[in-house]
Amino acid sequence: MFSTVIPVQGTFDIAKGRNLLRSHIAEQHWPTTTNVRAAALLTALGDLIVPACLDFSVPIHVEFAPDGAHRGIHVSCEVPEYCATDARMVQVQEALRQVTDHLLVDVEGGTVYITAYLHV
Amino acid sequence: MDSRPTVLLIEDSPTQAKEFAAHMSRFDIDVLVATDGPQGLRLAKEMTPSLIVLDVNLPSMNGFQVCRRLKRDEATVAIPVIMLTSADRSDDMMAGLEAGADDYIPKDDFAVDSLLTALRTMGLIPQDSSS
Repeated sequence: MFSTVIPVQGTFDIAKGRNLLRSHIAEQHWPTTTNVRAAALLTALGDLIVPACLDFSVPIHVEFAPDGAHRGIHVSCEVPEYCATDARMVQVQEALRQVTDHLLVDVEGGTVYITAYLHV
Repeated sequence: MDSRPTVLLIEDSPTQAKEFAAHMSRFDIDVLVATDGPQGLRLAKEMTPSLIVLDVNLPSMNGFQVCRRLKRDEATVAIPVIMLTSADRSDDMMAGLEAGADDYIPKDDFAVDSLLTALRTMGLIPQDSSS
């Protein structure tokens, strides 16, 4: 199991994260289309975090499960609720649903908890 | 004797095509350039390249339309297609997949790195090559 944290504040961080995921997907010899789904997932999360103009980074946690029934990528992050306007949340959730195999979004105590699974 | 791999680049910007060809020449990869979709489709059929690298924003037909045609044609269906484009929204990426692209690389600060990783994965350049 490989895991990493991608701190995101601007679009450069998203681009850097996409490149990092691509390297690890290549190491796993997973289909190249996995790159596209992983990049789309990270980009959609960026669409929520980056326009909020936060003065701090939001860590995106990424875990690679190389074997087993849940072989794939597990991504999670916690975003302050004030970043997630209703309109933006609807748009981002729609994008995430299109990309992922399983998506959980919970709002609790002023924080939006997002967990997404991408099976290979 | 093994023949050198050939990449067909479908890209309407001469500057970007020149830059791309310069990167590929470092790895002994020949580059064919088409400046629009119809020319790209014709060259793909005639030359059967090892890989097609396709922009999205093209005159007359967009890259998604070109990709769909390539994947519908028996003569070109097996050629891998990488979309390399400034269209970098998540729905653009998913549209690329739906059109049949094998990979999608946004033209960001890491585009060259990503492209080289993709070429290594496809066996077009050696695993130990550096960017």
